[in-house]
Amino acid sequence: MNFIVAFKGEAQPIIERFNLIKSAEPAPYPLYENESHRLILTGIGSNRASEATSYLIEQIKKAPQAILNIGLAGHRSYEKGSCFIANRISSDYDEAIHYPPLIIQSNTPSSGLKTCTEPEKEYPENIGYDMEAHSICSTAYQSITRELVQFFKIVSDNPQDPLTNFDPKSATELIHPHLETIDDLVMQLDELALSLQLDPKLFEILEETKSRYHFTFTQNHQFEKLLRHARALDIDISELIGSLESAENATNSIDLIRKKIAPLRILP
Amino acid sequence: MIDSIYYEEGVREHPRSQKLFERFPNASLIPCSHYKEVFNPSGQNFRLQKKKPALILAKNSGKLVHSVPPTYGIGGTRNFYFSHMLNCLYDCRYCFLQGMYPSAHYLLFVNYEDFFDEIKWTQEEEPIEPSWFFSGYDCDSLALESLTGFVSAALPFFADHPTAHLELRTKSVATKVLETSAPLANVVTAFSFTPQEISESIENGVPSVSSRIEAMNRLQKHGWKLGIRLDPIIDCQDFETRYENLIKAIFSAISPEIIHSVSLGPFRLPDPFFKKMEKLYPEEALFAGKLEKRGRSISYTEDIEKKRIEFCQKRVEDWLPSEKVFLCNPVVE
Repeated sequence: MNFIVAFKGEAQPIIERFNLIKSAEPAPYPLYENESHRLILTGIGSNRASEATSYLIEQIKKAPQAILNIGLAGHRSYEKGSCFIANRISSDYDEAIHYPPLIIQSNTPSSGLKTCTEPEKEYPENIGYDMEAHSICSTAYQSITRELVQFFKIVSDNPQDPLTNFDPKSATELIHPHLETIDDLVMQLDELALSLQLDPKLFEILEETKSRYHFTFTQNHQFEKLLRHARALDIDISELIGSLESAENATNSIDLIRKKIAPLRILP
Repeated sequence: MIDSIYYEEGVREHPRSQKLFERFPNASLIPCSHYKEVFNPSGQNFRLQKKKPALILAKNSGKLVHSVPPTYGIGGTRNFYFSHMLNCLYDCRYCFLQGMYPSAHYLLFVNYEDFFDEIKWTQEEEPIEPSWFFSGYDCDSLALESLTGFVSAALPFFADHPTAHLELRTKSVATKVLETSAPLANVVTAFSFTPQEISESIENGVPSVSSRIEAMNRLQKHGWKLGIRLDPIIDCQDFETRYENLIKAIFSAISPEIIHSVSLGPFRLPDPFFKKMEKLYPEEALFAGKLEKRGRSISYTEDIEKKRIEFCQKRVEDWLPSEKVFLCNPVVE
């Protein structure tokens, strides 16, 4: 899971919850991580959010992975401290409107969200207002499946409790009560991302065989496809590994698996 | 069932939209200018969306009635299809919709009357010659009837236009709308089947074969004409036993007289659709079968296809005159 958060006060509860450690590697944006989670601090505003999103995506080695933007937002009608998932993201600088597909099972309400270049103090429409989401969407959608990019916002201000009253130091307090909801979102998004990844056992065979022989791009694709077909046809993985022991090169590995599968290519 | 409803701002006040908003009072209502903003963007994952499809309400202002390829048909010479809805309640692994559409959301065009007008004009081009209009091309004709009310709206229209023939194609058992209406001679409800074992494996959410046969039986009693669609025919282990049992189960329950037609079609997909579907489900056994590229389509090897179709055709013709049996062959490219 990859979190995108604008500033440290919003990020602190997440950093603590997931035991994230600040990366020692030099990076243009502060990066916190553990074995399975990563959080980037973008700073405020669209340009920084877009650049930080690009940088974060470059760090993803094993795709697909999900992105969750967490942050504070104004809202015309939602109570301060309540939360929502963005279902329609517009902006005041781009005509394009994004519709993050709502496939997470959650009781959290969903709402429209508008990303503004300046803090919105008038709340003209009955939606949320932030300063980053639209550009995160625009950048992330270029390389990540839309369902895996979601936006979770906590209301920091509204017409009754306007932005002028907002104390940035309260950000942590506002995020904290929603950590369980965030846990649930993370779990669901991770499961969805995992469902699109190659089975770990097949990945292991693929990597092991590739480390022994040189595979061209096409051969790599053919080999992976054959492994997936073998799995689909319920062929025992240990039998596959056994077949590969006599392989002498990439071409031979592919032929061995192909021959093994050929007579079994029929729907059970 | 529906947690999110996207709607074109232009159809917000449409009575059918309003009815659906009332039907799902807890759904998030999300406005858009045009359905394509939600339905068409690239980078959506059909497989993930299928876990929780939203409903999109829109108006289709383009061409609404389209010609069907000449190799398809169930006896008529003028064949057309129309799609008041895109996507389906069920999740059949062989279904071309997964390869054709970027989104799995249910897209409902609420301007039914425009469809009926265009059907009428199409029929009036050749007023004496019967025309067939197929409704189950991009969706199941009955599965979401309780939500769309399309069939309920279509039946009076077809009652008034007897030379326009309607095929409702379905895997659903939601036949109430037909059971509560007088049968029409120009409407055929066609049920699609694969053997139960195959259905369980690759037709997610589809009612059992036996419950579909029961649904056919109910319609038979009400006097509705029925169709049987063995399309696509799926190669599988124990093929002959499974298909023989299926055909026997259907014809043991349904009288040949009430059957308008049986059509048989091979499994085939346009190559780009197949590639997309294979990418969505790389560990699907169906796609690991003995398939080949022929022309621009992916299908079983020619010998398997021929053998499987011939087997089914013979078994069906044991029960039904050959005039009622139609082969839906892919268009030769």
